[in-house]
Amino acid sequence: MIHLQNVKSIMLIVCFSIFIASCKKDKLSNLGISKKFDITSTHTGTTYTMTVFYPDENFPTTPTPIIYLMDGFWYGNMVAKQITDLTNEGSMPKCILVSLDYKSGAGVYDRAADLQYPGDGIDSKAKGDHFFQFLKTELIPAVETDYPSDTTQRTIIGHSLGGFFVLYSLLDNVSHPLFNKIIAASCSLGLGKDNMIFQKEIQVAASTTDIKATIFIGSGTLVGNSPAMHQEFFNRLKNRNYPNLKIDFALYNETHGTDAYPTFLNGLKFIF
Amino acid sequence: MKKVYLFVIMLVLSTTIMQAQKADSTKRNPTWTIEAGFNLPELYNYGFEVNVGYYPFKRSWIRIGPSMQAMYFFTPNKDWFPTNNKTKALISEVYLNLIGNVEFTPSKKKSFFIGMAPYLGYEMINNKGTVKNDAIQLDLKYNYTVHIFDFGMRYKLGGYIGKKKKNGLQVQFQSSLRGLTDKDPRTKAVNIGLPNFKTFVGVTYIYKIK
Repeated sequence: MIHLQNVKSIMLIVCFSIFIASCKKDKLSNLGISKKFDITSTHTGTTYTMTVFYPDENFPTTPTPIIYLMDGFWYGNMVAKQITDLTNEGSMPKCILVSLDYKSGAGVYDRAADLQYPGDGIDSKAKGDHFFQFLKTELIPAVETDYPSDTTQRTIIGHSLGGFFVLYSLLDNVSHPLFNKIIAASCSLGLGKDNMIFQKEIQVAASTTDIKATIFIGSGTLVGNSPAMHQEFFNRLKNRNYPNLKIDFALYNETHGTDAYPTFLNGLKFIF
Repeated sequence: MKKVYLFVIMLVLSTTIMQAQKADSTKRNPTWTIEAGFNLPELYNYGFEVNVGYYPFKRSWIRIGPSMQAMYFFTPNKDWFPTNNKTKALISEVYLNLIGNVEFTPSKKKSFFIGMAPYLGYEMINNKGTVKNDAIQLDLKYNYTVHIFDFGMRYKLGGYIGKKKKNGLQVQFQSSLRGLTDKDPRTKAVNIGLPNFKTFVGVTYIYKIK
């Protein structure tokens, strides 16, 4: 006969085991191969720590799409897991992920200057234009010297200020986009006195007939006026009918803190 | 600012506990209670709650019983960046939860209690407003409503004060464990893959009806 005390003990152990199992996080080393390196920018004067990840035992030897992720200190592991899962289910090709972090450990604060372009109503420390030059002339050449890159599928992902940066930098370099594929989540579209990204879009529309890029934009519905602003921005870009612009948009029942996950996940499916 | 709120909560709590620590011979365990309080998840999000509790199971060291909780939170408009936009905005959150209260009264003669209370219920969030800016021909109206199955845990610390131990105060921390974003078929049934937390601390006045 089973004693009641034993049943209680067994139940406690089972519950505790389930709790511990649910707390287990996927580490990069469990998902694939990864390497870190530091790079100091002459444009921004900042030293960045980059994590390069690939969902396999070894890095590839043939040209592979490379994804550059802003705010890697927040989203690096999450996106690595998404890439691994989507690769395993055949929804996207195997890609190299390059997550950007700040060596100082103060990325939460330092990111603001890098991800905002100077403008009316913008913090005077904004140096997004310099940060873009860092990506173009320092980071990308360094990464693509060491890892075989399929430059036709070069991708950038950003959330919040990062989302603003990836969209604004595209519009600012629309004749020769540095990135062909873009995922922009919960972007700070209200930045600047008169929403400078909307102003930029109007300027671009007046001077350009095409944008060669694939863009996925997403936002949570619980982020103030953000979902409506995103819908409007998407509509404006879509209605320009740029022949080589492939663009999609989605809203999620999420907050600003949680809409990165579904946007990145569905964005990766869309752009690849 | 958060430190100030924390200080106020600690002050209220310490006073309550000191009062609750005073021994008396009155009946300490309530059968029916009604609670009303203020909750603070973050600086631009405020909440109020009403909670009706019933404690059918009571011993000298523990009382257990269900309660019904109704809460309202709101987030007023806040311009995070300097802008020329003309905006109106309000996010409202309504919660209706069934709570299972387990409250321990470690002292035999004092009313101080520490409790944990798993809950489940319904949450409705509405986000509506307008945004206008003539410089870029922007004139938007929006109204989004989300319905959510919510579950989580509430921890509380408090006690009854006064000679009759009729009135009480408690500080609570409540954390939602709902996860909206995880569509993984292995975990979506319980939505624990990527939790979307709603946490707050609050101060609640308790009235012992019976």
